[in-house]
Amino acid sequence: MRISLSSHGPVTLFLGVTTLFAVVYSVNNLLTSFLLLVPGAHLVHIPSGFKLLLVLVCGWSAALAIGLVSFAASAFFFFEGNLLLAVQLALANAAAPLLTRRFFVDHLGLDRNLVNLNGHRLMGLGLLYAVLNSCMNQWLIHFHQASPDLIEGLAVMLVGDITGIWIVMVLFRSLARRLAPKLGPY
Amino acid sequence: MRIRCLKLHFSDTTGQIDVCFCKLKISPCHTQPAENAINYYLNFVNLVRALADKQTIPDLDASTKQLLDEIALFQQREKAMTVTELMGLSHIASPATLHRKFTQLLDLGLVDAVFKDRNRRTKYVVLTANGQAYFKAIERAFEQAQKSPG
Repeated sequence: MRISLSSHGPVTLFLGVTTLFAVVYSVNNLLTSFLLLVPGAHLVHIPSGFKLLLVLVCGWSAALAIGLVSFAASAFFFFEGNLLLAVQLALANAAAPLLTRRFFVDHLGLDRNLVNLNGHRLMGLGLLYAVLNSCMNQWLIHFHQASPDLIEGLAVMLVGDITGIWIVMVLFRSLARRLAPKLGPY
Repeated sequence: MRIRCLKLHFSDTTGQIDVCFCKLKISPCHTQPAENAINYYLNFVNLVRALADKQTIPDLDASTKQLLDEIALFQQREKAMTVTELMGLSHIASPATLHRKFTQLLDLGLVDAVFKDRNRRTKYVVLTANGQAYFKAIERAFEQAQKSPG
């Protein structure tokens, strides 16, 4: 059986993922602006869950989309005028979910097509991603002197990422339970 | 020297993307190989199953596994197995049992019975994308086992 796909696939996918993530990111920031307790860190950050799931499914395309949206948000809203920080944050935001996925595939036996992904592995992925993402983001923000307290920033962002991932997982779980039977027994 | 086109190549475990930036236009490279969008679909299916707490690798009994191996071996030799050939695998089980195991594999979505070209009289048994993913998972497990010490 041979499956051929259009060569426009990745670009369309990239544009779709970018649009989806930009919408989720904007809506979350609009609704939870009062939870932005320290620079670059919300107490509840739903896009973190989307970042992880999108990179798990789409890999590089999603990472590029996340980097692009993150750059736009940093350069034009959160850290306006600080282009170097915006570029570094974009790279960190794109790299964190990719590195997490890579670590699980290379060292913890996760299948490349997620065949052996289960609830425990998802939890592990979420925790590692939250730690990596918080550390990379807050260290960069602190390094550029945009945040006075590294520990406070880390704590808020870690809680925000974990709660965001948890909310997204719970939401998608109920959706998945409806969708899974339609995908067949395997 | 004037650079006219810039080709970027990204690849990871999920696939690869080549994007060309030519004269301020971004487009897929003409030399791009067949895309791995099927991988994205499989990733999505497996993610949905993990979220729904569904078993992702089916638990097959020995004779069903043996039957699946035979189908995969035929496919590897680029020779699709016919349903009649499948029913003749008497070293695995009786025709009645083989039929039951084959139905189980069809229900699990690991194999499919298809017609080829215009011949509507012979059905061929082929591995589906899920069937290929099953063998990929086994291959990966072997790689992991080889890497791990002891």
